[in-house]
Amino acid sequence: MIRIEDVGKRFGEGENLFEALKSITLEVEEGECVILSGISGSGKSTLLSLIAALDRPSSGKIVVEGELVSKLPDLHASAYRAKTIGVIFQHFNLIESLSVEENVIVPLINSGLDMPAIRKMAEQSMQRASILHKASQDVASLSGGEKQRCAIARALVNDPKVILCDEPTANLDRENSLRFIDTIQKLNQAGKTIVIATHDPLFEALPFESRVIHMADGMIGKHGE
Amino acid sequence: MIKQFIGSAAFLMVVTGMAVGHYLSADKISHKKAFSDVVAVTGIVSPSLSTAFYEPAFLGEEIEHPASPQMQSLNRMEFVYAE
Amino acid sequence: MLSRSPFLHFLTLLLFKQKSKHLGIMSISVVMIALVSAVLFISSSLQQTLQDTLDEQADFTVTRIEAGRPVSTPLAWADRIIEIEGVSQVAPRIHGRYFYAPREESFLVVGIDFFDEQGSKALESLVKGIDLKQFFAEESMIVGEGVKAFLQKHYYKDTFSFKTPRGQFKKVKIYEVLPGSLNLLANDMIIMPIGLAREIFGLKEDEVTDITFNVPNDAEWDNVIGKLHLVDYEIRVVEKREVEKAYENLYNYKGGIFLILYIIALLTLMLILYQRYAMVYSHERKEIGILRAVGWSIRDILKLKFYETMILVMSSFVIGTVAAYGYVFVLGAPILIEIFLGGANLENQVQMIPEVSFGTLGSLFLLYAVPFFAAVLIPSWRVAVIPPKEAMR
Ligand SMILES: Nc1ncnc2c1ncn2[C@@H]1O[C@H](COP(=O)(O)OP(=O)(O)OP(=O)(O)O)[C@@H](O)[C@H]1O
Ligand SMILES: [Mg+2]
Repeated sequence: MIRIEDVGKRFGEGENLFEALKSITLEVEEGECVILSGISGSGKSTLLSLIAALDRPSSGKIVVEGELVSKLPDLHASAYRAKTIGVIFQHFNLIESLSVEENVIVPLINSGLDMPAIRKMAEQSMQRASILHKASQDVASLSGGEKQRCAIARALVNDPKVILCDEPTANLDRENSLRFIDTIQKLNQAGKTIVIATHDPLFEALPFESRVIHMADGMIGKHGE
Repeated sequence: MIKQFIGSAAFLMVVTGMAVGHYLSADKISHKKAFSDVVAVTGIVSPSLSTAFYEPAFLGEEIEHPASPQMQSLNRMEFVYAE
Repeated sequence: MLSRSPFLHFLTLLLFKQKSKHLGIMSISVVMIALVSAVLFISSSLQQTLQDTLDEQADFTVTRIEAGRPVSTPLAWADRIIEIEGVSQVAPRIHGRYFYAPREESFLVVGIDFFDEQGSKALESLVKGIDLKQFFAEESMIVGEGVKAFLQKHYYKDTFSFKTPRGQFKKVKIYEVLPGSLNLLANDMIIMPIGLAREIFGLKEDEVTDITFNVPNDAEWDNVIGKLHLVDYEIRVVEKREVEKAYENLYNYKGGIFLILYIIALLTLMLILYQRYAMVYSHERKEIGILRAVGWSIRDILKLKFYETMILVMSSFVIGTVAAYGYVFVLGAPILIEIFLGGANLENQVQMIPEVSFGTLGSLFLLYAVPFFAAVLIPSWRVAVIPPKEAMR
């Protein structure tokens, strides 16, 4: 479960001060699929990064799975990212010089597991993201869709409870986008909590139960359902 | 990769071991003995290195010491870094 | 066991897959370390050998000086020196440089006395199977390797004709060649009976080059020096400790040419380290951000960078020093040795005795490793502490 209470995020100081998020309050139930939609610059990515503890809110608090994410010290924040969260970034953020499998194992390196166990988990994850056939290929030579599937495999490898996706279909053609939605549906059925930031209309009418939340100007406006 | 790494580490270790072995097995004592024999025979300790060729200071200058006409004295440094 | 460690797996993965990133810095470091340590090896080996031979040197050497110039020393002084209290082993010597005029090269000709018991014994152990009687009876000489090579090149096979100051030619047979391991001392040396040497230098019967002697009791030294000046006002005394001091500076790595080498090496090191420092911000910033985003803590990042740097530093240092060791003590330091030997005299194939000053090598390691670690760890830490979202942008 994700609980966001009165969260604000400001960038810069003085004249350059910019309020990217203004008093956001939001609750996402366990196993729910939430679509954050809104135009570019409305603060979707910023909100996701706060949930993932990749940045800290300027005010308010965020609680994920009973943990006060907004105040975690580094060591705990890292552990939280490693165990609870799987993120699929807008630009994938893969390490280009490594192969698919090598990218997928990165979150598990410091997990305390030994290499054979890590390899097995990576294989399962790549299977789920249907990228196993490219396991030993270097990321730099993959197509956009394949890169995204690699990113999905990396996000899933630690079996996280919460999956965050930032513009997952921005760099994909229609066929790959539908394929992605298919994957999301399966994950949702498996009980994962999913938050997707997007302005792709495809997500407005998903073939499974979801909640669309509109964002504009760093604020949430209820819409649709 | 890990095999390559262990391979390279082992290679470096072997090479270092060879150098250390060479260092330890060098016969320094008989070397030292030979050098002290030379000194005992000749009484000369100056190394056989470059020596500056000393031109007479002015035309017609006589060279007084027939055995070492152009030698600089021992406690001068120039002869080592000459040329 | 080791191969099951995910950390080591990932570390080696990054090292090998991103080797182009490290290769430039590595190779420059290796060359610099090899150069500096080669110089250190050469100087410590030469210094050690010279120091060893110095122990054998006589305590005092006296020559005659006339208007500041060395002239031949009267043999009569020897008898007067013997009379000084505390003096022992007085030995008149004849030696000097014989210039081979056409090429401006010179040999060091040393005359030795058949009746010098200690010297004869040493000569027997130096040249195995030498027949002393035969050597002293004939007009023959024992030459260093450099002399032999030089004579060979100028078509003198077994004999060489010296030109005496009286204008006569003196044909001398090569009796034996000294082993190459003595080249540092004996490369340009010619050992011959003292009478022959006297003839070649044109010294009179009552003249020698100089006179050496020992004073076993150090406390007597200043006293003896005082008495020596009473022998003749034209006397010049060279003490062993003066010579020692000169040798201390001889191959001192702090001096002259080498200071320049060290400055160049240091500048190069600073340059490549600056490049490495900048690289963390430019190339590795995003990578660190990604690692942080998928759950690596600041400590994990620093650990990765620390071990990565350690492997690079250790391997480049080991490669550099071992290469320098092989170059100096196995190959004999071709080219570089020229700086030490100078080019004025006979070509010298010096064989160096392995001698490593581990203290200096240790400081060299620190001088290299500490800035290297700092140049990687400081920027890595500064990138790691910024929020991952910012680092990945
Ligand atoms: N580090 C930062 N410094 C200053 N302003 C920032 C920073 N990060 C984000 N912003 C601003 O915050 C606002 C929200 O950014 P955000 O990335 O959340 O938008 P978004 O809704 O994800 O847009 P898009 O759909 O284009 O990805 C933008 O106007 C952006 O310029
Ligand atoms: Mg965005």
